[in-house]
Amino acid sequence: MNKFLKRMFIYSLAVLLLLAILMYAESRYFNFLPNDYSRHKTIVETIKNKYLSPEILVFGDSKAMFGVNAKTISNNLINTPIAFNLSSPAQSVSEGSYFFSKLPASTKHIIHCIDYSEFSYGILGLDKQVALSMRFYGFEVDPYMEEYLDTLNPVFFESNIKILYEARNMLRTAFHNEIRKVIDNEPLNESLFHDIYFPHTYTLSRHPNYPNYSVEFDYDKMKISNEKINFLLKIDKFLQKRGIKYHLIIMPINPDLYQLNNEAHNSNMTKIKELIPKIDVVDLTGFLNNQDFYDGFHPNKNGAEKLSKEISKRLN
Amino acid sequence: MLFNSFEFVYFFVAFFILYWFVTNKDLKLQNLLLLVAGYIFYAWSDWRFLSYLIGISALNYFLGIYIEKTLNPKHKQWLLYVGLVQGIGGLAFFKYFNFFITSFKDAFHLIGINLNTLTLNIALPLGISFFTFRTISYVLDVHNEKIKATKNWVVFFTYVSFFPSILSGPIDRAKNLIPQLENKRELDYHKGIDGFFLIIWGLFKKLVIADNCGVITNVVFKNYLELPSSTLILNSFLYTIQLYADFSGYSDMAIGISRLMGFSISKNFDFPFFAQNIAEFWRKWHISLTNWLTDYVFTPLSIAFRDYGSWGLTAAIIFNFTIIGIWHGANWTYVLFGFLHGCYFIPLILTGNLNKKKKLAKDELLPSFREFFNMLGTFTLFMISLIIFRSESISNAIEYLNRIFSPSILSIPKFRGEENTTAIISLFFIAIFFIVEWKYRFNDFVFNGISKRGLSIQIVNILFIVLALYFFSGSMKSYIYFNF
Repeated sequence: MNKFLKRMFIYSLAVLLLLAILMYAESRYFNFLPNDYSRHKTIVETIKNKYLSPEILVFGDSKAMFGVNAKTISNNLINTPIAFNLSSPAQSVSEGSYFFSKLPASTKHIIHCIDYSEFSYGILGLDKQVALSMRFYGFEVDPYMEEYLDTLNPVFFESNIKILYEARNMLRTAFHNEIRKVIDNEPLNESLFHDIYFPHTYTLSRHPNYPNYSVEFDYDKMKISNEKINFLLKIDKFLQKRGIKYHLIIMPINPDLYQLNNEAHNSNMTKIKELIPKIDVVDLTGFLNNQDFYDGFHPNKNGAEKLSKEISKRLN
Repeated sequence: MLFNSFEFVYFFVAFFILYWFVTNKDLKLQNLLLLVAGYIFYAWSDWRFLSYLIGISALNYFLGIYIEKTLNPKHKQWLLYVGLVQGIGGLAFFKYFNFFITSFKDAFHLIGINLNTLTLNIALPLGISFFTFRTISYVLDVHNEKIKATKNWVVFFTYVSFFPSILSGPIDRAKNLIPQLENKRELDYHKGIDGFFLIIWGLFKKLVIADNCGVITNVVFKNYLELPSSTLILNSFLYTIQLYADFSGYSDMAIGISRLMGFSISKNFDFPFFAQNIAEFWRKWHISLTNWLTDYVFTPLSIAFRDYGSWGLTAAIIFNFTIIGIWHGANWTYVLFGFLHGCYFIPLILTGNLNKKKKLAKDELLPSFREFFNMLGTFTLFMISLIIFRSESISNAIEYLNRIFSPSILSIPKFRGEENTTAIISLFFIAIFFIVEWKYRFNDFVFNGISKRGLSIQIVNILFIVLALYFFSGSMKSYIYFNF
């Protein structure tokens, strides 16, 4: 028995030593290995950078990454104010709002690009992997967020060891990024991925397997979520206190994927505008035609130009 | 409570300390601790059926005693029937009630009669197939005077609820486990270390291989209509490996944990993918179930049919394997799976190769071309049967198999998004897994005898497994055979 226990003790020491080395290495390689969440580093660094003075910030998911050119917005406005696009893949409304308490003092407008279906969802909590990456890239929560977020992701309060253990899958996503370069029909353009003006990552105007997506959500039958409306109202109130105008851009839907019923859609839009009268809601669901889309969801460069010009018209 | 959970680690550490340092001097107390631990373990997984487990333990305990005590052969027989009816009846009710009702209804529907039948929302007690077979084999062995009935209720109840193997086997026999419960146990250093390595190897198989394969196979089996043939073939391969790694991984952990408690329980797998034919495969796959059915179903049947020569043997085998299929669950796909395996034996019976045994690549590093071809053929037969096994219905299975034979068989297999990465990781570790299994193919287990090797070799192996577990554990949770 003693011999067995001694041997088990030695094994435990060896394993603990290995884990300590791995966790130490993780905290280093996280910063330089490409992974699915590395865009958060760009966003966090941009917001923290005291030498940048943007007036307009764009948030949203990959539709906004592909569909909004911040430079086009800027060039079409009087005085060409500085505008940045800080959208990222799968960035929810909730995720974008985490950055709102840390906006540069120069910020005057937030352009929040959302899918029409967002109005039917409650508040989606911050994804764990996203929260981990934000924390690794230096993002910290603050009490101001509690003015509009009921609960903050617990990842921001956990111990460093637990965080390092949870973040071990980052190596896998880095590997995945390398694999994608070989097998994707159209490989990701990494330099554009970190761009703060127009982070579109495609090079063609049409995906080789267009539309490459199908829609499972029934827009015509959706019900407006009160929880989401209240959340948007809280965000708007918070931003207003800081003299920032909040614009909700409802992004275009590809007509090849879904044809909105005008009656149902108009009824929903009327209801939404009644519920959030102080928020500038810009309905662009039917703004683009199918030629303006790269795939089923994302606008191509042509679509992005049109969208960005339209957004700047609304800001003028 | 899963073996690969932190709850189990805390549970087992506390149990281990109490077992070897507090109760080790008193066998009765130690067995009582084992019994209580078994009930805690079972209740943690599913408390609703703890009373059922205790109830059938009590019933079979008394049945065993009275079967042995009774001198009247007719009374002995009736007591045996009570045990069999209770066991098979319990299984039939919990596992197959709705299946029988629905099949009955469908059969009448085929001839134009619509029946209004009642189906019940029946929850399946975890591990029922495994502990029921234990109790059935006990009463049969006592009746046939192969073992003596135990008068120690703690020993018997512990035998039924032995926690390392209650949920997914191996299905240990009373003649193996009860004597170990009735005698003092020691923690032998070599057994302990080998047991520990079995546990971590089992964890590797479950978390790195099975769970990663499962991420892909779950998606592909739902969307097979949209995918090319080459992807479906690769998916079938991954599912075959997933099932083996998941089930044998659990078995390895169960055996390893038992060794840490001083028990030797029967092994459940003997490197089945190196089998040269289907008969050999079933001598190496889910050994405890195959042996159980061989002893209590196949042997009596083959004796009953001995006058019919090869036909009688064929009928006995097909019946036996159909039962194996049905044992897995209430779906016609399982029935067909078993029946198909029975049919696989027919060429072996007709050519007289049923019991041929030959040591694979005995003095060679690699198999010969013929041996490799035989292994590949056996693997392919099993893989095809698993498509049926995994499908939701027979029509889905036929559709899946049809889609394999299409021009897209020549395309490069491709999955969606991160599944491609998962597939590559899985294939890499599957290659390592096969190399390790091949190295240990003449041993009882992988890492058998590693306790006699140097410390540095032991540590290198542990660190490699920990590295793989740390970075590449998949995200599945439960074990496939918990569903049976």
